[in-house]
Amino acid sequence: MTDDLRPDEQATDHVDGGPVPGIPPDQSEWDDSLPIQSPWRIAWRRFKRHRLAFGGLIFVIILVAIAILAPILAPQDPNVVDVSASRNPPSADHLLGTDSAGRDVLSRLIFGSRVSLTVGVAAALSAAGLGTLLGLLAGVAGGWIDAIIMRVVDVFLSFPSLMLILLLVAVLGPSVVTIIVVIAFFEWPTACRIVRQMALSIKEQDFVLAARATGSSRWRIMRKHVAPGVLSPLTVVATLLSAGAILLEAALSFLGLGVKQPQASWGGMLEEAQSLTILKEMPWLWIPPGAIIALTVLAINFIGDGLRDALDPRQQM
Amino acid sequence: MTAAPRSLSEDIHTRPSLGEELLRVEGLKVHFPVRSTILRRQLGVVKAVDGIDLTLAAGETIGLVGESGCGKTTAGQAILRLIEPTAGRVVFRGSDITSLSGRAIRPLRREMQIVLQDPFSSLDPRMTVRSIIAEPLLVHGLGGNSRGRRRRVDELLELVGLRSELGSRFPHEFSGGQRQRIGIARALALNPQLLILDEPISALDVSIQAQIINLLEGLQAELSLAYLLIAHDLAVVKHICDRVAVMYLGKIVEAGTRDEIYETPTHPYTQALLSAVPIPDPSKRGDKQRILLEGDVPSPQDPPSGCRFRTRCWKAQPECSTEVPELADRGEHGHLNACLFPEMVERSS
Repeated sequence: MTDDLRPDEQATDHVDGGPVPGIPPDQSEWDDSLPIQSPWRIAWRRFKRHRLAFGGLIFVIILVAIAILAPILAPQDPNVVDVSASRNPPSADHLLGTDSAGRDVLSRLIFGSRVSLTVGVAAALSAAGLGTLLGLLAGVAGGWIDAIIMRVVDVFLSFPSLMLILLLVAVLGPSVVTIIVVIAFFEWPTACRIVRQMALSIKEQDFVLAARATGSSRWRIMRKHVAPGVLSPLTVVATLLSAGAILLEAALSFLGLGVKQPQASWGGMLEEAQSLTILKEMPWLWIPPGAIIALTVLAINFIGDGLRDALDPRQQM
Repeated sequence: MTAAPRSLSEDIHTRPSLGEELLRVEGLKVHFPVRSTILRRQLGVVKAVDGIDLTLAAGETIGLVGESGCGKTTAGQAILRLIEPTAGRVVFRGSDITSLSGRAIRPLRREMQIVLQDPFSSLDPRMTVRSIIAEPLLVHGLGGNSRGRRRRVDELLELVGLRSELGSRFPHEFSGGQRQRIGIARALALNPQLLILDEPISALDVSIQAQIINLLEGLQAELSLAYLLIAHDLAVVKHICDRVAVMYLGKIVEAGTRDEIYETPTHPYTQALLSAVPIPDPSKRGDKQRILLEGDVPSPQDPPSGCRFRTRCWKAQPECSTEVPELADRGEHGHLNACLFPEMVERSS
């Protein structure tokens, strides 16, 4: 407590006395009615002005709602096989028709969103998490730690990842968890590079020097100054990574290495389109899942673009 | 403010009486190795600071002046051990701090703080003003609970002339002068005895500069602070400094009281610097002899032999290239200079 007294002691001279005698007050004009402009609030305002990104955000929010409410929204059980109703075109009973096993396409589409979104979010978050950890370590520690991490990143980025992902999924056995782990394992280097680069540039800022002058430890500077600064470019990267993860999941399912049947997934629904007759004569089997994949990835990419513009400190307002 | 009695166990935190030595810098050197990119072979050494001596008493202001790149900022940061000195000693209140470990130096950070030049990059844009000023308190576990810290931050804001309601705003909402006030409040949070002011006003508009200078003077009177003012604006240095040291290429070439330096400069570099100061009164401009220095500052990686200023000195003699002039009192001038051929020039100012 003796320590705590010290600042207060000095304070007794001018406690609640308003301006201190002998000290020239700041004379700038100031409008108190202006709202406090936190960096995130400014970013949100800029983001809203980005129409495509805002539209993308609404699309994704609706998609998330659909995924959560799938059991309520789906007109039928997505996994009920009805051989008598195989490959029926759209009708009043089945709005988007039925697939080869007679299952309702619309219901499978609705349930399939769960797989795609789970994989997209989980894989991007794990990749961003791992990348941030290693990127901060490389950027803040520097030296040989930095050198080793960056060489590993180089190795990862120079591999043909799809081949290895296929191999790994084949070895580990296909499941949602496997897919998430494998995708995250190959996507973290992108996040790592960006985070390291940001950390390096923040480290050179004067406010870090000021923090060192007050006696802040390296760990504290990393937590309080570097990590928050890395967050904004990281959200952009994570968004784009989740779009990539959704595409990868669709590709894996298309190749038969995604989630196990009968669980519905968009990529898995496309698997049927490997046959020429279906491609030519039964568009209700592949256009809806193909379109929804494309739209989702596009929406997420728009969000990423909007975030990048909104969070760019060089842009005003 | 008079020094209030404090417990003796907190020896280092008691304030010395005015005039007592606070800081002594002896032979401070900062050399940066220049290495090749791949093999990391050492190619040379940049001698940013090459042996400077200074003393600073409590409540005193000393100005460290010189051109850009002469090592002023490096010297200031080395005194705070933000840059590791290559050689020399920094003695703060009788104890050598150059050999202290990172952990052992932390309590001393309460006593010595720095105000940085650029008020735009010296405040974290993602923190509120309140959390910026409270950070030093948190680092040192001062200010008690969050309410105590809040009160302390409010006081600090008022101390630097800002309304305490502005504490919940972010740095980008403020002007340069206001930001510099915030930077000063942060530096004062720990109630230090010594502030290193690293060009505190050179990034500000001229109209704001005077406000900040007056603020610094008011704070010095209020809190009996000692200032080490790093600057290249000689008019400002003259206004607030008790003593002045002139630096050139990593070395101090002349040091003395303000009047000695400004009225009877003896080193040709000081004379050249002073002749470049604009004179506000147009009617006096005629009497002024401007000394125009030729050429650029030589590279600190390969400084000239002997006197470092000789390559730009109009009085240079053959001896200047062989003999290194020490900073010494040469006869009748009464203050220290580092020139083999000092010559007193009377200046009316």
